[in-house]
Amino acid sequence: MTTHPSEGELQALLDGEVTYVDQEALLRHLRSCDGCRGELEELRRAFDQAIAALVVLDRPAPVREAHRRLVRRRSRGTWGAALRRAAVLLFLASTAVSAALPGSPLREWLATNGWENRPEGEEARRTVGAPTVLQPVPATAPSPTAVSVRPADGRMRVVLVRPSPGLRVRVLVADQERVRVSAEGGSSSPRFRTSADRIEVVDGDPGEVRVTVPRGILHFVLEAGGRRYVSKEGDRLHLSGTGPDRSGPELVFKVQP
Amino acid sequence: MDVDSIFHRTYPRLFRYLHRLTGSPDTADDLAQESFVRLVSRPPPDADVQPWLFRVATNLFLDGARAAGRHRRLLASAPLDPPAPPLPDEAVEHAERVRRVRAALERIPERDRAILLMRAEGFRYEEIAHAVDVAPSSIGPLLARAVRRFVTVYSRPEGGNDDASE
Repeated sequence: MTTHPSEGELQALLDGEVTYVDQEALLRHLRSCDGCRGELEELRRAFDQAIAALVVLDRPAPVREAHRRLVRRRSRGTWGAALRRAAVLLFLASTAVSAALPGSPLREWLATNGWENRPEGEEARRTVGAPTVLQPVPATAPSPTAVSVRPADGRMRVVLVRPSPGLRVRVLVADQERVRVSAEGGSSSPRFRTSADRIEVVDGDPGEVRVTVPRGILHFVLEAGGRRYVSKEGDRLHLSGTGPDRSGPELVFKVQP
Repeated sequence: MDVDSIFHRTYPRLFRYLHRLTGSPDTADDLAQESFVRLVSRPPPDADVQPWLFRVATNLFLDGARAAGRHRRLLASAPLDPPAPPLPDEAVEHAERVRRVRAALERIPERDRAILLMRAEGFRYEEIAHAVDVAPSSIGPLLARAVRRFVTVYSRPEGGNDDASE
C-alpha cells in the first residue's frame, strides 16, 4: 500500500471487517509507518474508552413485566381482531341496508347533509397507514374544549404541553372506544393537537383536564411537562411521580411544578 | 418461530441498546415492545431475527427522531427527574458520569449514535448498515467519527466549552 489508510479503513481493520487481501496490505503498511500505527492505536484506545463508558448508563431490563405485556397484547390481538372484523362487517351491512331503504332516516340525512358537511372540531379521523403527524384540531367558534380519538393499534399517549403549575388532572377508565380529553373551567382553554396515537393539550389555563381512557386500550400513558404520570396496567391506572405510587380505575392528581 | 424464547434471549440486549440510544427507560421499553409486536404480526421470512429486531427498533427510533422537534425531545432526551434529596458522594459521582456519557452521546447525530451502539452490541458492519440504511463500506468511517466525537466530549475537562473543535 503506497498511500496511508483512511481512518475508516483502520477502524474496519480493528473490527475485523476487511478482506484477507486488504488486511495483508494494511498490515504491511503499518509495519513500516509509525504515524498510521499511532493512529490505529489511538482509534483502539478511543473505542475501548467509549465502550467502557457506556456501561454506566445501563440498568436491569424489565424482562418479566415486558413479557407479560407482550403476551397480553398477543392474546388480545387474536380475539380482538376477529371481533373487530365481525363488528365492522355487521356495521357496514346494516348501514348499507339502512341507506338503501326508501324513506329511511339515514338516506334522508345523507341527502340533506352530504359527507363533507360533518361537524368539525370534536374528532380527529384516523388515517390508516398515515405517519403520526399531529394535526391541529380545526377551531370552530368557540374553541373546542374536548377531543376524542380512536386509538391507533390500541395505543394512545396524552401529553400536556406546558401545563400550568398545579393543574388538576383526572384520568378514568370507561367502557368506550375512544380516548376523550376535555378541559373544564379555568381562565383560558388550551389548544388541542391530535394524531392517530397521540393527543396533545397545549398551553391554556383550564381548571381541570379530564381524560377518559377505554377499558380495552392496550397501551396508554399520560405525560405532563416532560414527565410521565399515568400508565395503564390491565383495568387499572397507575400513577407515579406525585408522592407514593397509586393505582385504581380513576386517579386525580396535580401536575408538579 | 418460538417468540417467547426469542424474547427472553433478545429483549435484555435490545432494551440496553435502546436505553443507551434514547436515554429513557420508558421509551426504550416502548420501542422494544413495538419491535416484538411487529415480529409477531409480520415475522421476517428468512432473516436472522436478532439483527432484524434491532433494525426495526432503530428505524422506529430514527423515524421518531426525524419527526417534529417535540417528538425528538421525548424520544431522544434524558427523562426529567423530580428534585431529590442530597445524595452520598458515590451516587453523586455516578450521576455525574451518567450525565457526561449522555452529553457525549447526544453530541453524535442519531444515525451515527445508532451505529456506535450497535457496534457496541457486537453487530457486524453489514448488519449495522442494513439497520441504518447505509452502504456497509460507510460504516467504518462513520463509526470512527462517532467514536472520536464521543471521546472528545466525554474526556473534556469540567467546564469545557461545548463548542470546542474536534
